[in-house]
Amino acid sequence: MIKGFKDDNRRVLPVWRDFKTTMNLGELGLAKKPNQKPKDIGFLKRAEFEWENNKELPFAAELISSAIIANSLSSAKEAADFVVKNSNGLSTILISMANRVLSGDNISSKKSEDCLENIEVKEFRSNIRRLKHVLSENPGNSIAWVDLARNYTILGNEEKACVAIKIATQLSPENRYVLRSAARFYLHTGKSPKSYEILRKSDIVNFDPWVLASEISIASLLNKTSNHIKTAREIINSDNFSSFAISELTSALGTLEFEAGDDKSAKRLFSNSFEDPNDNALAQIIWVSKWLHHPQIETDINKFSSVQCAYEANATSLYLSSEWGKALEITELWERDQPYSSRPAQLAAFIYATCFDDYQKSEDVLKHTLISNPDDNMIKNNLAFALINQDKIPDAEKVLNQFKNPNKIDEQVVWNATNGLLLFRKGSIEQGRDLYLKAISIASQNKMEDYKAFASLYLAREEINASSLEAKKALDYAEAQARKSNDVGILYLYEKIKKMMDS
Amino acid sequence: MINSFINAAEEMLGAELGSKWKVIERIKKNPAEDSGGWFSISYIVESLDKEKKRAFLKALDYKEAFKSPNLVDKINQMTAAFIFERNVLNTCKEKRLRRIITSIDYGDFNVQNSPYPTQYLIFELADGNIRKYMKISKRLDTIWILKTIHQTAAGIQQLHLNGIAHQDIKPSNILTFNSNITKICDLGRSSVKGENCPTDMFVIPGDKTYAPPEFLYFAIPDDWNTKKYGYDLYTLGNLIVFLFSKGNVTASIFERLSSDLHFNNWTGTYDEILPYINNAFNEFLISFSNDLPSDLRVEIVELVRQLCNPDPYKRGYPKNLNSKHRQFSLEQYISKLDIMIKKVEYGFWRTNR
Repeated sequence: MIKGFKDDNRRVLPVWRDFKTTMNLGELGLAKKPNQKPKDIGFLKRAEFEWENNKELPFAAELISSAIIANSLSSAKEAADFVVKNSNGLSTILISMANRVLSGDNISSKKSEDCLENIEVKEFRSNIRRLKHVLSENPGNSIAWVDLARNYTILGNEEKACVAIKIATQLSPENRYVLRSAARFYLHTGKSPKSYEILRKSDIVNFDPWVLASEISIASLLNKTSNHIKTAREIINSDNFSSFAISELTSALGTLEFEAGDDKSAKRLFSNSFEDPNDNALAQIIWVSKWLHHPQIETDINKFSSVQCAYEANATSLYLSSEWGKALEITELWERDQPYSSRPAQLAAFIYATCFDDYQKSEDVLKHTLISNPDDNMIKNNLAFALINQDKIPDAEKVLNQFKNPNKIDEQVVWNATNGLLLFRKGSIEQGRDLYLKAISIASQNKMEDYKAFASLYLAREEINASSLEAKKALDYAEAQARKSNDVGILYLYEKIKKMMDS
Repeated sequence: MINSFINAAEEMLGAELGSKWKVIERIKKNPAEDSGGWFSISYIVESLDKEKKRAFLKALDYKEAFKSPNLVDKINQMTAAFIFERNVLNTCKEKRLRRIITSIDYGDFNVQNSPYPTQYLIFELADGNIRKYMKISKRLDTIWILKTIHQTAAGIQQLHLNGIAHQDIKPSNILTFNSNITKICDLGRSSVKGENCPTDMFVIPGDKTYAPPEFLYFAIPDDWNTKKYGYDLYTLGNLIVFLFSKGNVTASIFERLSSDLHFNNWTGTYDEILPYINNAFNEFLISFSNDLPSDLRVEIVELVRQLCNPDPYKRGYPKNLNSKHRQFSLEQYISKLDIMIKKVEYGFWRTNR
């Protein structure tokens, strides 16, 4: 069986983007509300005067530099135009500065799609070469080490990524971007306690809302309570921070309150998050309101069209409204935004397989994400599922043999179900049925209703395919399980299988 | 009130100063320019002897003081700044710092009906500042650039060895004589070790366009050497970048940062933003290296990397970083520049023999 998309335990974990994108999203600055610092622009006035009286390149160049430093690009438009028109033989850095002035480009105003990566392996290899070159020139650049670690992580080279992230954290142990990236790296590689410790032990966690949001969320993932909840409340209530800067923190705290049953506090905190959320806070709001059906936290995704990189929130919303094609389009953007994460690939693979019967595409997506997640049993299971459905039995067996120690309950359920499918397709119907029933039984014992429903539905599908006498009974049972669920994927699958039976 | 008095500094054209000089031409001046706390009016003067030697005169413009609500304080401040610069120039002259502009003369001047005399300084007359040469060609002669950098570095080193930090090294303050001699001018913003200086009150003494990033973020180093000599090293590196590319290190850093990280908007500490600045600086160096002649690329990039390190405590020649007294010494750089000049000259000779 292929695992559905529903995430039972979403947390506001830090999203690991490359430095440039993170910066452009505004997640590195403006922790506090900006001061109205007096602006001394005497140097800009001098440069303007000199340019007015000397329409020559050196004066144009100086005015462009002064305008960029003063953050007053419009002052140097004419000079920049002059440079661009006379650009033949000029230095690349001067032309680049002139173009920046002409585009009036406040970097952070770029569209988020412009920042998305090409997720081909060769691109990441090329990034690694470039970053190695940068670091050979300056090994003290912690940001480049983090970007290098990220590229290694995407290519599944955990060992090298680990070395790079360690160097970065040693160089900049109190930097928001470095710490959040490191925390996400350790989570990705299954070292959640280390991820928590690196944030908990920092000084910055005591006052930085972004780091604090990650610390609280990872603690919660580990079933721990952060020691900084009080600080978090103080920060939220302090009015010193922009709504955007505390959006992750309010939604992290809101999630805790919601789970503790304090709906009133949760609602208040999520309302704060509504004001100016980043993509992660928005995805958390959608998760609480749409997946967990919190009655008081209802939200319309369309109200948040200005939120950049909101791919997860949008993909989830489209999935939940059964708009499979559109959900796939957004999921592709989500995957490009977070290529190391298996979640967008899992959703895409599920939709391809379940809604479009396109097992080849499902296989392609899963093979791609397996590069970044070589030890992820759930991806291997889903890949085996896609392969079996294309009658690529030997390939599927090979993948299932790589399924390492299915110790977790959810892995045991899917492992039994997928092996059941394999046996069905190999003609061993009874043995296949036994494994499916075992999967259903484990799910049932552990109150994993959605897993139980999926296993029941896929068993029914195989019974129908095999024209077995058990088909009607299996479908009735699957229907009963599906009716208990509110997952649109389960309901869609049930309708599909029912049609199979009817025809 | 300002217009009702005659301003002596504005009335100097045609005047004879003592029996030595005649003021022959007034120079148009940038109204936004001051010279480290005192505003000036500039003229060309000519010696009254047979030699008819021309020189540059800078007269203290008290009119600006009248725009201040605290007139007396402002006049005192301007006079103190003028005297400070005059004394620094005298020191340079006495110590024979030949890469620093020479002050030839100074004195007072007054006209009838002017309530106050003006003080003036007379300097040797340059051909112009280096931007004049940069106007001529897009691609400058590498030997000329290297010699200009070499002589400027030597000038800064001469000042540092005498406990003076210039604090405003920039293209307009590097004068050229006979197209191949370079001297540093405008010591009005300088600081002298152990003395109270007029620009001590300013966070950024020199032109912000060439200032090191830590000053823009108000992260002023505590110790004098790092604060003052470190500042000069950064501006020298920035000058190198300007000469080779007409670019600017600080602007290139901000070009690569989003506006919320700009010093006008940043509310965190300099240590917090330093990794981002460092990263932007590295990206800039990679671009800059492509603008350099291939035979000098490595040396020049290394020079700029060390002189303009955004971390002032890591600025300077790597082997000197642990030495309190030598961290900001330019001695090694001057030697390296000397070798580079010889290398380029040899290459030029081989190509053209």
